[in-house]
Amino acid sequence: MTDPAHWRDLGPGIYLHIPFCRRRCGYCDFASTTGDAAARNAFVADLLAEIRLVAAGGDFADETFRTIFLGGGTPSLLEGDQMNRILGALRDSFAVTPDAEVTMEANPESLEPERLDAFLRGGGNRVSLGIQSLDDAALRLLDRAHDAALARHRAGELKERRVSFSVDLIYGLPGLDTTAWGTALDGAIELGADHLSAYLLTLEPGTPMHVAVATGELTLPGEEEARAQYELLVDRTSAAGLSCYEISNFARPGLESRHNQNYWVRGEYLGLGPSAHSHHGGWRWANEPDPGAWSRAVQAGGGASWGMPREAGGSYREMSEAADCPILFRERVSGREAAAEWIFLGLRRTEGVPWDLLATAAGDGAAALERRTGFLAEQGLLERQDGWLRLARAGRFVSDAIFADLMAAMEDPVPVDGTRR
Amino acid sequence: MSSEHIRNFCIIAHIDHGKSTLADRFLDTCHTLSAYQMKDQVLDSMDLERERGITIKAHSIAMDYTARDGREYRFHLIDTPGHVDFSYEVSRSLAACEGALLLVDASQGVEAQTVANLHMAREAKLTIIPVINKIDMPAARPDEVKEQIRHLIDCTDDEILAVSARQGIGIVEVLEAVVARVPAPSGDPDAPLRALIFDSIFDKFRGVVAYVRLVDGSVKRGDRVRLLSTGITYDVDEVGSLRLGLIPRERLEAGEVGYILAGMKVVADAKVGDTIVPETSAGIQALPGFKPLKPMVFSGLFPVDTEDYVNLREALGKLALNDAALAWTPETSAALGFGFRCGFLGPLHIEIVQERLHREYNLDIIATIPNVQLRATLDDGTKVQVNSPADMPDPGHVAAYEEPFIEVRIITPGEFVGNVMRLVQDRRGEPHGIDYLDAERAQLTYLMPLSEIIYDFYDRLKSCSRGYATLDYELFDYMESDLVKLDVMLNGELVDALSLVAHKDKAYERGRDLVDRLRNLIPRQMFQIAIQAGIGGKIIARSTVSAMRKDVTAKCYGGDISRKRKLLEKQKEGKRKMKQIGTVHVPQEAFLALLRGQDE
Repeated sequence: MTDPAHWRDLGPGIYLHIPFCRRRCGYCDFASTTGDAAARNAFVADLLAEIRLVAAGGDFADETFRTIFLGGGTPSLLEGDQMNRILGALRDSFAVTPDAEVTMEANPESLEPERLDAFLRGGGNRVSLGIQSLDDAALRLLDRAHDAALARHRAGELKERRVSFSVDLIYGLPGLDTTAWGTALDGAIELGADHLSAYLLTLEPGTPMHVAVATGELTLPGEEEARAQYELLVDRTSAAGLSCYEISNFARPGLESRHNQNYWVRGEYLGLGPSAHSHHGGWRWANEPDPGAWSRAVQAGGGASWGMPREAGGSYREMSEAADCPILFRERVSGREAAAEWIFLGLRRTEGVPWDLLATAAGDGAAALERRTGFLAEQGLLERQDGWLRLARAGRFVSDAIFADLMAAMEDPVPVDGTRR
Repeated sequence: MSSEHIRNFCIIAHIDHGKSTLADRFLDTCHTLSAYQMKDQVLDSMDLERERGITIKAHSIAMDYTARDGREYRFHLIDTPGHVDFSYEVSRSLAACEGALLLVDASQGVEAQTVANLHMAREAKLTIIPVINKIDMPAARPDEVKEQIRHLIDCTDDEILAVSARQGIGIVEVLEAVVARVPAPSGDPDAPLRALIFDSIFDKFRGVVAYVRLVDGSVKRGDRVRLLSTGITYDVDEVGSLRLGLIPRERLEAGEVGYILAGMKVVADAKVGDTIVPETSAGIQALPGFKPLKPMVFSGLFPVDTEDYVNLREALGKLALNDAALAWTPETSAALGFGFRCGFLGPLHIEIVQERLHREYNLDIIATIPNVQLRATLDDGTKVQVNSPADMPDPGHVAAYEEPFIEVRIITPGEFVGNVMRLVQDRRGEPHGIDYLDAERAQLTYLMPLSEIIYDFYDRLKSCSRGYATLDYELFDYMESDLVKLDVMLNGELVDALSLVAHKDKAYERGRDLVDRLRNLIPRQMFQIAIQAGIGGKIIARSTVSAMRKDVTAKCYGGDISRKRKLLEKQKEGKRKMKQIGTVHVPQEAFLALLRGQDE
């Protein structure tokens, strides 16, 4: 089975992880460090080294990249020239299409006009602005460094420059009811972004907000309230011309994030920087998440051991077996795993997954999977149409349960007589 | 030794009234065991027996006692299995004796089981020697207990002995009473052999050991013998006395109690109550009272870990070597997987088998709701035996059902009579009489269906009488009953493990109860789950588990899919561990909680 034609221009992509934040937010457990100017300079040097090393490995020599995404952390903390050196190094080392989508994640407080302009001069053309909310009380709760006024100001600067931008929002916040969420959402829509991402607050164990909820200091909205907030989100964005193309992503037609869609259609990508993940040639791998350990490994790899594998007929991936390698793990994606990925990545998209693609990957689990999808379609949770399988709107908010259910059905087919050993 | 110096007797007592301790004192007094061999409750050899104070297998031991008259007597103390499901075995042990000690705790008084066994002893025409135990206890009230005893048997206060087995008080007087009051056995040593099998055990090195009482004749190694019930013949390999171990002897003679080894493979070959006769003798009369063991109560046993299926089969096979009453056939359940439908004598037997599977074979077992054996008469007059709710014929074709009824005897302090009556009448019990053993102890007899005591009856009896009421029963007969099969459905799909037989008047209540309990045990799923209880096509109770409304990872970014995958794999494994009933996932813990009653 080949992928649908309209997926082909989505990737491959490059993801760069910039692990700096001014400070750590109360709900975040991403790989990040506060770091000073010297640390940032050293990091950029290491990242440039990794770009050269991977290019030298040759695994991506035949690829033409269509997207670049600077994520983090807070990429907007980098100086303009740092950003340009990184983007320049990527274009020097790899083939990148001239019309590549080049996105930077940015926080309102660090996206000063000079940095933004430097990014645009370096080839950047899209910004994902982490405003999170337009409710100052909510922003304080989230421990963010900006307020609603600054978020509006930055959005205005982006619009002036006619840069396509996306805004990030968080809902399901403690103490924020559906009415307050509706107000914040309307405010965000009025900013005029082409793209909007809205995430249900997920508390990772160990984060300060998780502790506050566990001790009863904060109370999260209940199941029905969270669901109501999601329904409101889908209705309001749709009315504003932003259509839901993934569970949590909304865009004007044609302005969807190509980079992120590529993840969900199981496209290939190269991840650079600490904790970055890659998918290429049937393998998935991830870099060392600790910035210090990653840095030491990259620096060590600058010696003889990093150069060797290519000459020895090896590849970038084989370096993972050498000591001082920045790769934390790598794994080959089997047929069953590919089917699972189609389920929990592909079905996130509103368009869904071609049934044939999923069934082929599921192998002998396909029949059981088809029975189960039929049942869940009867329950109004899935839709099967024109050879595609997709989540029904009612299924989106219980999608994890659906994904796990389909994965179980595929792996543990129940015989017709209902018995199972 | 001539038979006039032999005394064969048993002890009739309720649990904890001191039977085993008294037996220990007899062994001390007769110097039967060395101090090294002596441990508490010598005769209860299974851990389970010692711990719960019940005797599962009958035991027997020979003792030599030099009486005050200077003569030496051979005592055979035959221990009886002590619980309600085994009344037939008790009757066969009694049939091997001439006398019985009626042992009653001086503070507890007479209990139901004691009375039931006493009745059997009198039917067997045994001489009864009443003994009050634990007279040294502060709560002892020997005078009231004497009154209870006199109410039950015809005797004078002087004939009632008073002992403390623990303190060793009055032991010799009991042994002297055995010499003086229990008649010597009266069989004919010159007649052809007739030996009663009163129990048999399986020994993994020697095969089946048949415990026998020789009524007539004699038996020795090399004899060819025949078992009357099966007609199978055997060569006698060894005969001997039952001491702490098996002590081989030249021969066993009329009046004696001992053992026979004859190459039998399983205890079912040496059926309790069967008669052993010489191979060649024709027209010889069987000893009275033989009944083949018949399982009356059935339950599906399933391994909690499906991997244990083969282990369970092997364990049942091993238990059956030593438990002639245990029967089983393979059974498959959509809910519980592969297991066995097992037949038992009664509810306590189920519990014992489960407990032994757990302790001796380390198996974790889930048992379905037990049912009794039913007889169905179809429209065309044919009779069908039903051992499982799944086997119940289409209700449209059943003219009538019959189920086994039992005669139940309950003894309780007077203050709880009202509670007990309410409980038993709620269980379809029909009163057959009330009798006061003394001013405070009432004996209630009822005719009721066996099925009503196999489901949550003992516990309720105990709790409505603060633990004081005791119960015994014997099978009466099959009688007609208005029975239905109650089914539980999840989204229209039958949950086979929860089907049960219920009386029509109780079906609604049972259905409601099951549905309500299930509702709290099934986790919410992506869709609504209808839980229904029904009879035939008719729904009599219904409940709903509402659909879950939120289970979503809103953010899936940065290409890190492995974290997401791990979380979903975990969720997926959780589902795979559940049992799938049609489209619904049910955690096995739900069945465990429901069938073991842990959620109450």
